[in-house]
Amino acid sequence: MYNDLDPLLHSQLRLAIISMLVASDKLEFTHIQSETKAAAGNISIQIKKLEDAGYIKVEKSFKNNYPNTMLSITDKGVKAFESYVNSLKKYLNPKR
Amino acid sequence: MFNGLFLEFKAEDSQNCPAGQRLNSIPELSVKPPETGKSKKIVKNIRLIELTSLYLYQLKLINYHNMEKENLTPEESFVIINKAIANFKMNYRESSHVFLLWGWILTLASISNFIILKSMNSWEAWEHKGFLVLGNWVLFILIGSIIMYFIVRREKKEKKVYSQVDKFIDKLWWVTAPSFFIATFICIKLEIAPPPLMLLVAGIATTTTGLVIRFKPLIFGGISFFLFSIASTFVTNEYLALVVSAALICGYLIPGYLLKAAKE
Repeated sequence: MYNDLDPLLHSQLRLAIISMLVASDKLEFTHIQSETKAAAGNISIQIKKLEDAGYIKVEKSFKNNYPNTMLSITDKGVKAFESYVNSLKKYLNPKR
Repeated sequence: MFNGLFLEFKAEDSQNCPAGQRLNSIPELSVKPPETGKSKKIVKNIRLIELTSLYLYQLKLINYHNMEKENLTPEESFVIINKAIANFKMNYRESSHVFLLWGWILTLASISNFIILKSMNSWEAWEHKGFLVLGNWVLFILIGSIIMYFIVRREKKEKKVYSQVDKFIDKLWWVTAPSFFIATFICIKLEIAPPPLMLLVAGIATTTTGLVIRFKPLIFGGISFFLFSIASTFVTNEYLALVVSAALICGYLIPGYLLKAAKE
């Protein structure tokens, strides 16, 4: 139905992740988990999809001897988000 | 084909069935059974998988609430975006540690500077006095930098979110720190007292930080640096250190304590 909306962003969890990353510079995986209340496995799958598309950057490191995943949005991701929001606006205000 | 139908079933039920509550009626099949043939058998198998999934869900073995909803309306998309951004409230109380640290370190440094100038008030000792004053500042700044290193290290361990504002403030102070040293060098070279220029640089960074995090006491603290910068040009060298102390109390310490006490 909404064909011109980026299918990669037009999904509940992926859109929430990318929106959080637009508002931030860097985010920890655990923060996304606590905000979305989604399962870690599910978030990992969605992150992989966004990373494969080049929308986000994933940095894996260690923090207090535990694995730590940091996420940040790429320029491509910002552009995709902007065009997604612009397309949404067209649906909500078709006259403009 | 069937995989898609199965997902559809799960997405719908995740909206309607609260966790742990048994369903009174069995949900409708996501595909209508064909009359005859192999398809009928496949559909029956799907039905079996669906019911097994439903059973597992009731046993809380599958969290359907975490399933992806793909068919969003534009309104739903906007709600998700707004929620994700609105929840992004930053707490800048942590930055109070930095203002308090440098507030105390530099206030103590300027008071000790004043004591040094007062106690060695003879022209004969002037050269030694210059070295002593410089050594006094270097010592305090060194102590401050060591404590700062540990504060930054602890912050990195605890922090889960780095906002664009955090990034901006970090960069602002990373540029401001060398500006203090460059200003000191210029003042020594031109043989003028450093405080007016130093307070001006501090005023620019503090007021900008206050405006960015929208914290009024810090904005007023930054403005007070500007006023003290002008005031310091009317004071004799001996009492400049006291003006700097007053500026640091108004610009760093008072806003720092207010920021620490602020709720969010």
